[in-house]
Amino acid sequence: MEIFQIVGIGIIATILVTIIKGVRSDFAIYVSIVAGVIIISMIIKDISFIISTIRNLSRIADIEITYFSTILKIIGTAYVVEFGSQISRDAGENSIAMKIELAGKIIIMTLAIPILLALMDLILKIMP
Amino acid sequence: MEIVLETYIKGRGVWMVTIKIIFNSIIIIFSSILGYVFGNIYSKRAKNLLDLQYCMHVLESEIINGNSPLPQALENTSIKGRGNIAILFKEIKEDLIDNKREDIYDSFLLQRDALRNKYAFTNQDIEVFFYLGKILGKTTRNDQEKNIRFILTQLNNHYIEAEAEKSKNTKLYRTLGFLVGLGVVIILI
Amino acid sequence: MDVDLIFKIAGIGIVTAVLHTVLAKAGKEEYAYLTTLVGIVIVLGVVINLVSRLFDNVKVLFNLY
Repeated sequence: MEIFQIVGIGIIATILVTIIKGVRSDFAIYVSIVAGVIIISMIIKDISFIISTIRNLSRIADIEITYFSTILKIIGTAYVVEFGSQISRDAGENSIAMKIELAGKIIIMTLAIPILLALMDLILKIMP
Repeated sequence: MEIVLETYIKGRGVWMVTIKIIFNSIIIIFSSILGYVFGNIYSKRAKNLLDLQYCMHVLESEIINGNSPLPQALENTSIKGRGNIAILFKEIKEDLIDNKREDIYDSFLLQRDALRNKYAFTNQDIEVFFYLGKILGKTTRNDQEKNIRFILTQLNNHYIEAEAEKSKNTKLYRTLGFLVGLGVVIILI
Repeated sequence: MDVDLIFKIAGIGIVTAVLHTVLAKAGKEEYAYLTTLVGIVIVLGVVINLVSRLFDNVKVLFNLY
């Protein structure tokens, strides 16, 4: 079962980070970043599978593909922003983390605007 | 522990793991030996300086108290002396006799390479030793005694300095050798 | 992209820290800081490489180009 490996890696990485933080605190970040990357890489196949399934479903259900693609982009942006901001927070740099999150929010808004406009169009069409 | 080892090997194959272990051990051992030898140079110098002082005392008593001629004095120093450096005097005496040197200083000069490599002396140590070659067997007994005293003081100063360097450096270089080997292995893992 | 990588990075970190302490204690401060810097640079290189690969994968996955 993959989940045991992943949890195991997470626990070991946490222990290592605590040890290294005691010896030399600047190296601890690297270990935690690498642990995060490795765990994500182990999961990435499953994520890809989920996404392709949803894509097929959306094709079958006849929803426009652009909507789905936008939602996907938003989810992806949210994930990447979370990854980066959490690492900054771990290192104690709350301000940098907030800046990263702010950038993420703005980009998501930018991605969402076309959908918003389409929604506006639809509502205006319905209203007399 | 065995489960971890099993899963580790299953991912890679037994042979690769064995070869990797052997290779990494070779690197670590090699680097540690390098560091060890390098560190030992300092302790060799200190020890040889101390032994040289002992031999000089013996030589002094041979010249002043024994009435023997120079070659005999050198031979006796080599026999009664202490440490690796005692051989040095015998070699000088043999060179003196075999090549019928006019000036004993030439025999001393021949030993320069041995002094530097085998006994780990620095250039200053060698100069002090050559000074012995310059004054040996040339002047009166009193003068020789004073000169030998002077040389002994010099050697003692050098010894104290070598001792300080040694205690600081030998362990350092030995540890360094091992650590660098370890670091390389970890980077190359 | 393996579990070994975590141990490798942690190992480099510990070895660098120990080397730093040994050299500093023996009086050679400059070499100590030099070694630490080299260790940091090496680890940084590896980590940046990894993160770049991860982001490439994420880009492809989420159509984020």
